[in-house]
Formats: sequence, structure tokens, C-alpha cells
Amino acid sequence: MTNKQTRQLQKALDPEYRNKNFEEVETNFSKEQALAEAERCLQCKKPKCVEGCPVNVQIPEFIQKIKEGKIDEAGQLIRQTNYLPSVCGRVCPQERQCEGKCILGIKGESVAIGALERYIGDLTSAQIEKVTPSGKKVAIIGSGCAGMSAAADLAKQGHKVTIFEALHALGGVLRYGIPSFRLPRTVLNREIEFLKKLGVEFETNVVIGKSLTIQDLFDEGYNAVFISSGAGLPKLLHIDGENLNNVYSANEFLTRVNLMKASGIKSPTPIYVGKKAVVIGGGNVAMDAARVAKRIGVDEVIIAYRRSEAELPARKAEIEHAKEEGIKFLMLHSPVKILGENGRVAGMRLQVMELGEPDASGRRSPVPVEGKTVDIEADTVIVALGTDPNPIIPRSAENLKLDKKGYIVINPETGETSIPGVWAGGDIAPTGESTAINAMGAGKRAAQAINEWLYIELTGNELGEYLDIKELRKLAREEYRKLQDINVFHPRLGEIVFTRRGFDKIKHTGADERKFRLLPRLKKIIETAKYINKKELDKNRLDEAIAFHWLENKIKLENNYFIIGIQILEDRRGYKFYNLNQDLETWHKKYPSGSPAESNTGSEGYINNITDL
Amino acid sequence: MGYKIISKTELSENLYEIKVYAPYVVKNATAGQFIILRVDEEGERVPLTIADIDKEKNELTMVFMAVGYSTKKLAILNAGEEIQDLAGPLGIPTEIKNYGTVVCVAGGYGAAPAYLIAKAFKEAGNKVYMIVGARTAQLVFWQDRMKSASDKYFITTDDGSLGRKGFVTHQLDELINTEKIDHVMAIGPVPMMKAVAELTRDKGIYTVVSMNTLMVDGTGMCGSCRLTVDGKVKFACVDGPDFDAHKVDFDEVIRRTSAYKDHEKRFDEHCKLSSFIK
Repeated sequence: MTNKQTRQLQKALDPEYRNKNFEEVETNFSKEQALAEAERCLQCKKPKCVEGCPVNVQIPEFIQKIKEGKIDEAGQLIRQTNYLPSVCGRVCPQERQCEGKCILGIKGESVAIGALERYIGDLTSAQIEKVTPSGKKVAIIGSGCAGMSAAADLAKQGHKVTIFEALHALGGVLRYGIPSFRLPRTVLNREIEFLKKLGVEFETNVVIGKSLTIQDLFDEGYNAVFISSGAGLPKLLHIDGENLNNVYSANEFLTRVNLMKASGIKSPTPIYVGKKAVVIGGGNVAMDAARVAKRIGVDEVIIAYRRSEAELPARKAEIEHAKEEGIKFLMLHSPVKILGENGRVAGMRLQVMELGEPDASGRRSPVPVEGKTVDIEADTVIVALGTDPNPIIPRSAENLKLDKKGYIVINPETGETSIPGVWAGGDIAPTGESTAINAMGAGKRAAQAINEWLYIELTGNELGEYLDIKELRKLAREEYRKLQDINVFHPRLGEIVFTRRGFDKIKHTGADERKFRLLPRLKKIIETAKYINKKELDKNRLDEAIAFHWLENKIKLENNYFIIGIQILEDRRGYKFYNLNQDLETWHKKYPSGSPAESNTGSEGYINNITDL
Repeated sequence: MGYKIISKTELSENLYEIKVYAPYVVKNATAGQFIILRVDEEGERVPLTIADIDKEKNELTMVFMAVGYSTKKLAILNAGEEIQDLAGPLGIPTEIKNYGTVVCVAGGYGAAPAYLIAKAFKEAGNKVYMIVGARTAQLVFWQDRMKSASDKYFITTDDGSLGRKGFVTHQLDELINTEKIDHVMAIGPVPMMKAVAELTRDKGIYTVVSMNTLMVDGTGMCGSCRLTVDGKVKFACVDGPDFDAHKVDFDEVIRRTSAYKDHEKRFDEHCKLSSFIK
């Protein structure tokens, strides 16, 4: 009998066997294991694990389905929010996400949510429902996690979606970065096949920004564009010897092996297989590069990291797997110089570090131990320090606003960029940790915003109220007259409607200057709404307040449902219209007790052009 | 789905010109840019500079020397057959301005892209001199086109079988000493471009070279193509391929380009054994 306290472990191939091939290291749960693991879930009423998941998969619910033996239903439940369960179950850093929040983890071992998600993902497939074509076309740039999830969401809404991919193969990092021993290509290919079945079209070898510009896409009839082109440019060390032969960025090393199948002399794409490789960095990419190096025949692989093991950002499972496979870990060593001989790598000089005081992020920062360096022999160096944004798309779109580092500036809640009709998400417009699941979350958020935009374009008023300004003013005045008698301004409404937070966020991202210039004025209006009873208003402000009030009341206020926000947009004909977010039920379920101010679901709208009211 | 070869011409032994139907590449392509192709499903990604563009027919012309595994495989394909993958245009186009008198120096099959670049210089109002260097007369191609794209056209061959005997630098030196040259553009083997840069450096003539480094993705993602320009690391695929010739570390490029010579040789032998290549 299995002990309920003990977490089920996925079986792993023998390290001595697996470090010579690219077979998947961890096998799937057996049926018995999955059941035993599902039994461990406490079915929390307020599940913390769901909060920990960036796309809020309904974890206890799908685990309950496993317990009931309803595997297909579990699959459907997961796929309501996550289209790539087989991928995410394998590559998410669960210990920092869902499993990190699991209540069982406090005193014991958290539920193996990732393994269960993967189990269900592999056993089930997404269902294709018939959708009514909307007649709208969306172009998605990049076929990685963000692009794929946005594509699925948009295709399900009936839009015609085309994904443009610069490389010859699909999947982005999942294809060229993550090795097949972590993510078998059969799994990846299956997810892409699903998108094709949904009607998503793929154009490989199209480098947006070069082959076609964003403007070209609009000219070709696309109604919206989502940029999910990833980060791209590898960060370099900027130390002596970096351009010696056999110094690779991890991107190059992994692309050669994963995408181009380079290893030894069996492939036309070459790769250098030496005796001793040093990998610089401590993230998942460093682990992948090290384990790949071992597999293609490098005798000794060392991971050098400038902090200590406790700070390694890689997934715990990958660190353990790497160690089992014989990868050596050299912690608290920072690169100083790459040593060369005849133009090739001959070794590395590393500065010995120690941990100093905690920095702003709470991590203890490494400081050099004065005068203490070590030289180690090596014939290959792989640099895995992360990536910088790729300049190709920004250079081709002048009015695309970038931050100082070169990332695309977006409204983090909607993915909206500075160009109307263009959204961005994932590593090209990062809003947090750079992971597959976060990119997917960004794709989903953008898809929702794009969908709303397209519907408004499509129907005028299906998702929002659609009125021209004169009409609104007239109605507002009528409302005002009634107002004298009925006194409906509720202080609570004034506070909630124009979610201050929504505006603050916009201000941070600078998504559109026009919007946040209005911030001070908006605050006044909120004040106005609060004090309307006291008749402390001048005539102009009153008009505005009334207009908003009128809009507020277009939504029924029942059971303490909040009005989440009002979005005023302008369509291509120049009409102003109001997009009232009506998804109140979901909102209320999620935040039954209070203000949305602490939430981050990004459903609020915002006022675009108050002066026009 | 692939990229259909419209025509193939053998310009000389092992030297081929192919025309490919590639609307997405041609649409925004201009002089100085390149493409990356993959001959077949198992193929490597190979960069080739764009030699000509026909925007009406959506056709792209490339000239290549069948020297390695992939170019030999490409050379086997005939009109009507397809290239598996072809992406582009990549890189930043050559900066075309009215400089005054421009000399385009081209070596080997680098003469093909030099044609498109010279044409653009001429259209921008420059007086254009074209110097084409080849090992021997048989390797000189597109003479009519070169003439049409330049005001004066010079040929040098190593063995003296056509034009002037010697290197392109001999002809360039003579031009520089007899006339005011405002701008030099060099495209060809790295040692040739290095020699051109050395020659113009002292004279203070602004010189641009089109760097052909090793590449994998060609979109900035990997840094395989990195080189040092003015002491800074640049990626030839996104920051170039054109750079100020007087600031490029040519020796480093030559060294990095030879990184896989052993592999290429061994792979070529390996493939001959398994009769991959006819």
C-alpha cells in the first residue's frame, strides 16, 4: 500500500544510460501512481496552488476528476486554461509556482501537480469544437509558447489565425532550446498538430521585420497583430577571449544540437565536441546546455555559477538530474577571462566569490574574494546568461515604443502596445519571470484583449455600449435631471469604478501617454463622484460625473457585484465607444470579499479620452 | 511546400546561378542583404548573399560555388525542384547614398551580390567603378551585367588569363592614385576584403565590407556570426553584414570562420563514402 504522506515519484532512466542519449529522462506516472498522488490532494476550499499557477489551472478540480477516474474530463478542465498541459507539466518550475503554494508542502511534500498535469495531458487530447468564423484575421509573430496559446484562444473565437515563424521549424524555445530528453518532440509536435486542427495556419521562414513588416501585415488584411517573437540575442560575458573558437552562447549550442541535430560528424551542421566544457550560468538553460554537452560526448562538464547552490535559478529537478548525470557544479566562481591557445579555448580564469549582504531582492549578492582566482583547463565554453531583446521587429516599426533595455512596452494586463491593433507578450515584452507558462499567460491575456477589440470592430456593441458622444451627453443630462431626486451616487461606486490601480499600471508601462496624462483629472472625477450629494461640483465636472454615473448604471448591481471598469475606445471611423467589462461573475467568485485593487487578472478597462465626454 | 527553383545555370565549373520563386523574400529585399537556406530536411542552414531580385516575378537570384556538402547538394537540384527552406531578406541593406565616386571591389562569386549593390549606387547618382577579381578567366561571369551597372569595369585574374594579371588591390591602388575616390565597397573572400581595407586605410577612403561569417539562424538569436568591430562585439546577421572596413578585426573573422574546417572535411568524406553526393 502506498503511504498517503509520501509523494509519488516519476521514474527516471538510469543516469549512466541516459547521459549518452536523448531519451526522455522521466517517465510518466502509472495509473496507480496517478491515483495515489491524486488521493493526496486535500481539495482545499481556497486552493493556494491555483493562485501559484500563472494561468490559474483549476487544480483541485482536475485532480478530483482523476480520483473519479474521469480522465477525459480532467483533460478538458485543464485545457480550459492551459492548452499545453503535456509541455507545462514537464517544463514549469512547479516548486516556485503551483507546488510551491501547495498546503501539503508546508509540513511535508506538496502534491506532484506537474506530474499529474503531464499524465493527463499525455492521455487526453484537446477537443475541437466547431466555431463560427468571425471573418477577422490575426497575425501572430513567433510560434513559441506565447504565440501558440494566443493562437489557440483566438482560433476558438472563430478568428483566422496565421503564425509567422522565422525559423524553419515550429515551437520556439520548445524546439531549439529545451532538449528532447526534457520535452520529447512527439509531445511538442502533437500540440502543434492540435493548433493546425483548430485551423491555425503556419508560415515558416518568414522573418517579420524583414520579410514582412507589421504594416505589411495590416496591408495584407490582418485586423490585429500579436508579437511573441521571444527575447533572442544571447547575453555575452564581455570578457577577454569571448570570441575564441569553441566559445558558444547557450542559444547557439542548443540550437545546433536541438534544432539542427548536430553531434559528432553525423550531421552537416557541425558542433565541437571536446573533452572538457565549462558552462557559465545557473538557470535551466545552463542545465540544458551542460546535459546536452555530456550527451554528445564531452567527457567532463562543469557548471560555474557566481552565487551558491541555494541561489541556482534552475528547476530543482533539473539540478538533481544534472548531478546524477555526472555534471560538476562549481559554485561561487565568476568568469574573469577565457584563456586561449591558437585561437581556441584552452581554459578559464574564474574569480572566487563569497556571499555578501542580501540585496534588494533578498538574495545575498556574491562579492569577489580579493586576489583569489583559479585557472581551469577547458576546450569549450558555453555562456548561459540569458538573453536581450531582438532588435529586428522594433527596427522595422518606428512607432513601437520600447523601454530602455529594448523590450516592447505593453500594458501588462492586456498586452497592448503603443501601436493600435498590435499586442505583444512573452519574452519580447516580459512582465516577470521568463518561463513557458508565463509566456502562455501573456498569450492568453493578449488573446482576450484582441478578441474584445475584434468583436467591437465587428459588432459595435456586443461586448460594449456603443454610442456617439453627442448621444451620450444627451443621455447624461437626462440622467442628471433624474439624479436630483433619487440620489443614487454611492460612495463605494465612486471608489471602485475607476480602479485607481488600473491607471497606475498604465502609468507604469507608459502604454499610451494620452491615457495617463488624464490620471490627475480622473482622480478628481472620482472625488466628484463621491461628493456629488454635497453639491460641491461645478457644472463641467458634473456633466462628466453624470456621464460616468449613467454608464455605471448600465450594469446591474446585484449581490455586491462590482463594476470593474469602463473602457472608452475609438474605432477606425473615429467613434468613441464604451467597453463595459461584464465578466462580473468570474470576478466576484475570485474576489468575493473585496476590492479588485489587489488582483492581477487584468480585466479592468480604462478611460481613454475623458475630455471628449 | 518548398521554394521552387525557376532556373539553374552553370556559370563555370562548380559555379552556379539559381533563380528561386520566393515572394516573401523578394517583397522587401534590397542590395546587400542575404538569405538563409536549407537544401533538404536533413540540411544545415546556409547563408547566401542576394545577387538579384525580380520584384515583378517574385524571383530571387543567388550565385554560389559548390565547395562543401550543402552547396554541392544545392548544385544537384534542377529547375522545377524545390529547396526545402529559404528565409530572408536578412541583415541590414547596404547603405546607398550619393558619395560621388564609388569603387565596388568584388572577389570570386562575391561579384554576384556586388552587381546589385553597384546598380543601386549608380541609381543613387554615383560614378561607379567595378573591379572584379577571379582566379582565372573561366570564373568570370555576368560581364554584361557588370558593365551595365558601372561606369567602368575592370577585371583582374590571378593567372592573367583575362584582364589585368594580379589582384583586385593592384587595380584599386591604381584607381586611387589617379582619381579621387570617395567610397569603396568590398565583397568577397575575407582575406581579399582585409587587403582592400589595408589599402584604403592610409588614404582615408571610407570603405565598407560585407562580412561573410559563420551563421546558424541568421536572426540574431545565437551569436555564431559575432565579430569585433571597433573593439565591440557585433552580430553580422543583425548588425551587418556591412561594416566599416577600417574597424573590423579581420584576423578574428578568418580564425572563427575556420572553426569547423575539420568537421567539414570529415563530413564531406563521410558522405562521399555513403554516396550522398553524386
